[in-house]
Amino acid sequence: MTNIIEIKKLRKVYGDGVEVVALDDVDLTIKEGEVLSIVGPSGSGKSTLLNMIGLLDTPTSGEIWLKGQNITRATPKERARLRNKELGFIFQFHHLLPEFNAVENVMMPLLIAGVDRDEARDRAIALLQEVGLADRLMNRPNQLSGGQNQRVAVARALAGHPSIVIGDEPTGNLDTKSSDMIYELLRKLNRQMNQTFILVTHDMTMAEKTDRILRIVDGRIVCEMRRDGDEFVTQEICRAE
Amino acid sequence: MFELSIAERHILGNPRMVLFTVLSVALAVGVIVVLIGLTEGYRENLIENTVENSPHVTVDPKEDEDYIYLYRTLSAIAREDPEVLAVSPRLVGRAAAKYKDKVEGVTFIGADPIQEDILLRIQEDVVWGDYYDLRFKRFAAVVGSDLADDLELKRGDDFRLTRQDVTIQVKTVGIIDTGTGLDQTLVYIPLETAQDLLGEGDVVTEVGIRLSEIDAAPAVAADLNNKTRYKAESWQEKSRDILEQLDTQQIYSAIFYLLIFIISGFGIANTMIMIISRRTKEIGILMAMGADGISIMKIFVLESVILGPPSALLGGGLAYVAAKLIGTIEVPAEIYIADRMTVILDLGTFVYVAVFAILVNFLAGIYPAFKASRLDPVKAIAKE
Repeated sequence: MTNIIEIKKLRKVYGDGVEVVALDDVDLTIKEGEVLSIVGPSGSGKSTLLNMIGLLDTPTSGEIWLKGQNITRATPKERARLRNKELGFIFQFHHLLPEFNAVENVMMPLLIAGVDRDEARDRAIALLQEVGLADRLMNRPNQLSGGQNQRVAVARALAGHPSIVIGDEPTGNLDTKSSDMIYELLRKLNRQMNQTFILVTHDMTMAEKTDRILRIVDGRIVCEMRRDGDEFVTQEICRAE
Repeated sequence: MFELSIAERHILGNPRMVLFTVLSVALAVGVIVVLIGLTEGYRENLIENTVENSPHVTVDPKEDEDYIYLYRTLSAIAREDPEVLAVSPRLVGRAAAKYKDKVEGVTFIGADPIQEDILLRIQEDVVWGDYYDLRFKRFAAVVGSDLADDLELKRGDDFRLTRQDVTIQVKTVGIIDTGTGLDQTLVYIPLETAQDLLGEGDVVTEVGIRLSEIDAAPAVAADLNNKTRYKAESWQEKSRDILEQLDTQQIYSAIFYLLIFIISGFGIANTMIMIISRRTKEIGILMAMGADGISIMKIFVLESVILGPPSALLGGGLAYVAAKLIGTIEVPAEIYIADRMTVILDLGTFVYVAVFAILVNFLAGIYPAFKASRLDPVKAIAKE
């Protein structure tokens, strides 16, 4: 499997006066088709890392490589283009555009990419069928349940055939049943399309279903576990913790 | 273009806010269109009054003389010009009008009715009687309507005109209502009668000329000045002060209109800032989906600009209704130049104001839209 993301000595320091180190020399390699979860306490830097990978934020130092291309210093326009082509986002809250119905919301990344309206509509309808919302195409977010909206958000994240799907607490706002449903959906899509999934979560049950778990504390990766069959193989550093 | 569909949904999703923004711009448009219409109406009334109630070219006596003696020769010379429609030698003077125990100061105009009617369209304003009666009745007069009221003069009554030690008795054969202040002082009499009243023989005080084209007046006047030693003057020269004043007034008005638009521009900007601050999260999401700064800016500039045309149309409608209402209000002719204010609404004014309104919407939308395009997506999405 090829490396889709390579992160080298990534550092992010926030600060007006008092400096806060959000990421401290993080090295990370993510392979194509991997389902990865990032766990850690609040304020540990996991969302910051996700925002860096999602090209929403820029590092203070270090490098980010996407598909073998150094995109650390890409222009805002280029970053916007890459977010549109290579990345799909799922947030804790669905963040669908309230004035648009399910199909229109899913069409949006395609329209931004300049895809023809009819083609975008066909793709959106197919995706909504895929996530089990074939009978909810014309409903607006306020006419759908939390779980249904989150499924629309998943369909939207996948609309542009991104190589990486990023989820920041994608099930954080859902009950267990809906949560499981969303996760199963992501897994199914991962198997079908071999997309890379990077999920930040508080939910260890969900994290344990992924292929690889990263634990971040105070801006450092303190522990990494890889799935080996049904078991997780723990790295040396985790035991030391 | 996804920007347009987002802008459109935002507008449809905020009907109340949109309504108030549209109303504020519509009011500005309406007020400005009406004000321009009123100014134009005033200008037109004033020019019309000046042009219609005074000759296009007036010839006054030679520098060292009080009267024009050889007015028939002068008239013949003036008639040679093909632009000339009528030449009316006129004797204008002040006298006292007496009827029973009432006395009023009047301005009498002695002239040949045929030429004078072409010159100043007298007959149009005659509300009773016939100005042309003066051709055959030597001791007859057409009297201003307000003057007749003041003297309590009834139709057909005889009254006396006195100038120094000459008194002439004339019969009221017509009442004229020009709708201007002249109605209080005006008395038309035949030229010969006026000459009797003056007692200076066969003379006139001026020769009035009407032209087929009012813009030709300066050239015709200059031509007459070359050919004779009389003093010919065009209406433009005579009313130069008024015309200059109107031009100055237009500059002040333009500044005033600009201020009204600036105020409404701030209103729009304020609304746009509110809309954007409500939609910060949404802007962050759009950015995450790959919308770049230019697209975000487009969305909000479009949103602002889209409100321009309906505002302009509504403003035009308001202006139309206001103009109709203003047209029904009677104003005293002594204060204003006519008894009704005229509001001239021409399509050109409306188009000009509408284009300006859309421009204001565009300019007012730029700054908020620019701020929106510069949002940090991480902070925007995290915004509560």
